[in-house]
Amino acid sequence: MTTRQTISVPDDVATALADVPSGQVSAYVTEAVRRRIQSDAARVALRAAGHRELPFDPVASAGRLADAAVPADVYRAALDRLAAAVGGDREDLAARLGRSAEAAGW
Amino acid sequence: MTRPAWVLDTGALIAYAAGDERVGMVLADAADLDARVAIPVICLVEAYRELDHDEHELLGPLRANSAVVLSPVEVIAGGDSAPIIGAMARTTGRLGAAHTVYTAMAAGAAVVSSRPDQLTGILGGQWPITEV
Repeated sequence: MTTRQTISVPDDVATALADVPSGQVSAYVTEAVRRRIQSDAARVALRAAGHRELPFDPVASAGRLADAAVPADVYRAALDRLAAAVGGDREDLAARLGRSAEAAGW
Repeated sequence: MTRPAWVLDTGALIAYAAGDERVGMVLADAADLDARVAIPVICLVEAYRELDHDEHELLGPLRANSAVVLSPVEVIAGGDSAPIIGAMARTTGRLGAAHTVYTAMAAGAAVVSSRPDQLTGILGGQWPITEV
């Protein structure tokens, strides 16, 4: 079920929405609001565990996510150390890790 | 499902229960970006062992967080992770640390840990690890 809403938005948001193809604006706004609902729910859980209020700042979050990326050469070196530690074949271990990710739905 | 971007080890879970801001920031980032955070099951069990009984409920909201996924020990044909995790524990010193390494490598994910020294023997010093 859907409900028609009339809202007011700042000029910059209106400009962004004007670039969204007609007929897709509602879906665009719905996705954005759902993401914010998810963020707010996470903060409710964090506050319940005694965490302080954390700002909603997707730009800064995206920067930290980029910092969390594992460089390919770092990953390959870890795979070599794993193979040495458990006595397995490097390619076989890589395949097993891949199957674990697949089994987990990643 | 999106591949997890971060893995929380036992120490990170205990830090979460204590309100550690670095762990909270990771969870908020994941929620804001529709990313995922993995918790290795062995670490979850270790965290329950370390926390007092009256602190156990603090992990409830974390487990209910839609950005959080549990990483199991798989015993499926062709994808049995138990022998690798067990063997790796000889290097990491703890089963939880070994499961953290396994999960991080399966996901290609960064780690939040209270004991990076237990992880770097396999992951190396350049792997992205946030110490808590």
